[in-house]
Amino acid sequence: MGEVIVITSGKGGVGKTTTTANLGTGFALMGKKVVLIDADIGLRNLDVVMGLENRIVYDLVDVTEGNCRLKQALIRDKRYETLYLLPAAQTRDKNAVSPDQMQKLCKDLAQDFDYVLIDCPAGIEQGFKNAIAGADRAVIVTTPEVSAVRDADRIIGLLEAEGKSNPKLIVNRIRPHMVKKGDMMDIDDIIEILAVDLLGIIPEDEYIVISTNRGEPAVVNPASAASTAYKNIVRRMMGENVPLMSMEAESGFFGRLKKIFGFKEG
Amino acid sequence: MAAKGEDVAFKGVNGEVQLVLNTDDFAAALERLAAKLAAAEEFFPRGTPVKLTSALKLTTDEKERLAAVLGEFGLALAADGAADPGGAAEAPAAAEREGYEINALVVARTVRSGQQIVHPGSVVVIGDVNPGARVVAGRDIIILGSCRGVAHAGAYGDETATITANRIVATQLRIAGLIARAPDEPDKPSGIETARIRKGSVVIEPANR
Repeated sequence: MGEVIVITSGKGGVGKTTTTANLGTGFALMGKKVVLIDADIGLRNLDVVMGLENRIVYDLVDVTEGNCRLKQALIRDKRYETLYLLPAAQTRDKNAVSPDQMQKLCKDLAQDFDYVLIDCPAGIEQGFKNAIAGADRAVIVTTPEVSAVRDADRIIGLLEAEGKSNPKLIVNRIRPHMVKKGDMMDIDDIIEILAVDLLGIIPEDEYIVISTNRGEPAVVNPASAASTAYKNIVRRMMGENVPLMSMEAESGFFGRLKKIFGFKEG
Repeated sequence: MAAKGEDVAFKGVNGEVQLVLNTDDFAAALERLAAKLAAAEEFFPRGTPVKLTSALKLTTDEKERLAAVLGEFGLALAADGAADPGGAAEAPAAAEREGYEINALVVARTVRSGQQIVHPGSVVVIGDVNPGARVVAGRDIIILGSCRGVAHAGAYGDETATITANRIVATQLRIAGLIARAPDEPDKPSGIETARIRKGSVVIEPANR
């Protein structure tokens, strides 16, 4: 029985889809069998980020409505044999699927895969409810902005109300030089408000834009700063004890960041 | 009397809701009551019993009219109408401050954005109250954590109600009918603090004062 993990945030544009694509690819790099579900029905993006757009024949709604078998709708990744995508329908909306159907779908997929990653849509409405219905645990993505943190807090509350407690947090798009000047929230501020475990932090990386446009997740490019961060998160999710960047206390947050990302002083 | 100069006020005493009528003009009081309830709709859980403390002796007919107004907003007039008139409500208020018993709601988690706690008595939060969250209590609010959201103590008009927290960095503090907003440049608070009404405005001071 595999694990079903939903990647969610509340706010849009903080990097849920990018995170899903990179973590999924990261698991595949480690030899795990992974399927990514795009739960953003009507606004599908994950297929583009994965570079699998032109291979879609059937989608999630086709599966739940019985137009095809589950296996037929799964698209195998072009780079990794153990990585699959279940795309969202683009011509329908969130009401085309119910939480019960999602629960069943996740259960079926967990039989065959080590990890089922669900890319949750933004918002707290039907799409969110569908996406979290079948999940065993949740990963919250936020950026170091007050608005994103506020929405993450709301999402954590809603997850707790659904009995999905102890979500893990990824802080995305950290800019060390801005935090240093005090122009950006630092990790400690965010953790203090959200009071959840930190799974990892991702530095701002221009390569993400390039990789998204190319349809090739950044995690496969060792030169990308975000790549290492994503790989560390994948290893933590697999139960490995990779030290958290914010746990190395002695030289403060910036010392820690410098050490991890290899930034030079000044 | 729940509030100076207020002729119609709700008060939370030991987890009970008390309606204090401090006027001899019954018709006007009834009108004020209806307006108050309309403004605070959804505040009281449906079926909340209301105990009457009135300065003037009500006839059976007047009581029925009062019960009808309360009933419209889902409240029930409690049977005990024999409360002493006048100073009866004030006497306990003074005694209550020292070592008083409260019928408190204990919330043993962080209250997060979008969540709301409403209770006619006092509320104790073991955790933080985050931005975007709301805690509303008839009596005091005690937060064993940081208060960053909106806290409303003495929501029925009890001006002696207080808000105590390990750190008060609230978006907004409300006590009875008064609203205080966080300063735009927050100072670093040290130690446990209490917000209360002094001389007609909400002040925050160390809790052990």
